[in-house]
Amino acid sequence: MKIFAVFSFLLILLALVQTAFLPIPLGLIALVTWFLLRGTKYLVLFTIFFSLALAIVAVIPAWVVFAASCLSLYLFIGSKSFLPSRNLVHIILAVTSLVAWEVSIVGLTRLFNL
Amino acid sequence: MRNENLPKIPTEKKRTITLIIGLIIVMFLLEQFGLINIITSPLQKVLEPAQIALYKTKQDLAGFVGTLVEIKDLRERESQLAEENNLLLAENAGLKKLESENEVLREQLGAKKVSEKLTVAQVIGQDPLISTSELLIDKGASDEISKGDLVIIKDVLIGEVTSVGSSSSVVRLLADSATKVPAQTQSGVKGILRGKFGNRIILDKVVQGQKLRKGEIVFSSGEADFPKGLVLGKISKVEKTPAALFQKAEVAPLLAPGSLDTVFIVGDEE
Repeated sequence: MKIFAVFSFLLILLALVQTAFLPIPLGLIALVTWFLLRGTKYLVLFTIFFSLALAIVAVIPAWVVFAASCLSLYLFIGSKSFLPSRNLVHIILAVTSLVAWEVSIVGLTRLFNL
Repeated sequence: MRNENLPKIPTEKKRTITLIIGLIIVMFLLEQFGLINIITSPLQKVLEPAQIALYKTKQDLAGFVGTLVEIKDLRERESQLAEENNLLLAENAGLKKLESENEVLREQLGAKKVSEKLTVAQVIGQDPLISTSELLIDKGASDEISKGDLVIIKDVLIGEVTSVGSSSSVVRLLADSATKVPAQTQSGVKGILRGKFGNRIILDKVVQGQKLRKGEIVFSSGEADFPKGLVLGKISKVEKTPAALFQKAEVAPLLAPGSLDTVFIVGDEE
């Protein structure tokens, strides 16, 4: 339970860092790392936390962040299941997921004229 | 008829996908009916001080590193700025005279003065995406900010409010690729100012044959809901392609978005 609280706090902090320092979805990197270390346990819940945190601090609709995050994570998890389990492959997949996240957010925002 | 050879999706996977799609739909509906604000509004207020603190820390750090890097050029730049300042003071004196003349003419013509309400806002964050160029400010719907309001500093246009939260808003900067402002230069050359890749500003659609000069100030031309005369930037490079239908120029903003602290939101006074 302690790790659950710590990780939730970390996701909020990373959302704040994303809007203050680096325009990179650090929370998504944290979610990918969580998946690599702990599997899918609490992953959906953490994705909701990250989406809500970023939606609140960056004034983006929460459903857009959640949909983009789920798509990126699904891309990562889906590709990982049939690709060799090597660190380099994980890094390439993580970078691809980050790009997919950015494209999905911009795409959904423009598509729904938000 | 069912195809028996098709791989079956495991039930657990199906359940997760259904749950995720359901959650997206629920979040979408909550957003549409404004119910999500019940959760987000108080949290936005709680997180705002932390957001301001982090953004200020970033600005201080960037300033410190920048000073260390540029320490050699600072003295030279100081004398240049002093010279530029004197020129601007002279120009300002001339403009003040024109302003008073304008005031007298307005009174004589009975022209209505445009009444604007200015709201002071603090910059609390930057864009969370790489491909766009936006700013976050600490004023939102509770401060009567609405979508489409312009954000300025003096007469310099910073951007336009594109998204409004309860206590914060998003400002789309001139460098954003969705920005399009009808513009004209000091010498009256007309074009469209638009952002490119979130980090460049271009004066486009300038008819060949018209003269664009480096260093010229670009203003809004008063079309497409943008008031006339707002300063948009300074031409930093003219790109001439003789075969092209139009010519282009790169425009440098007068105020670096990363260094902004306080901005003003222009709203209509009721």
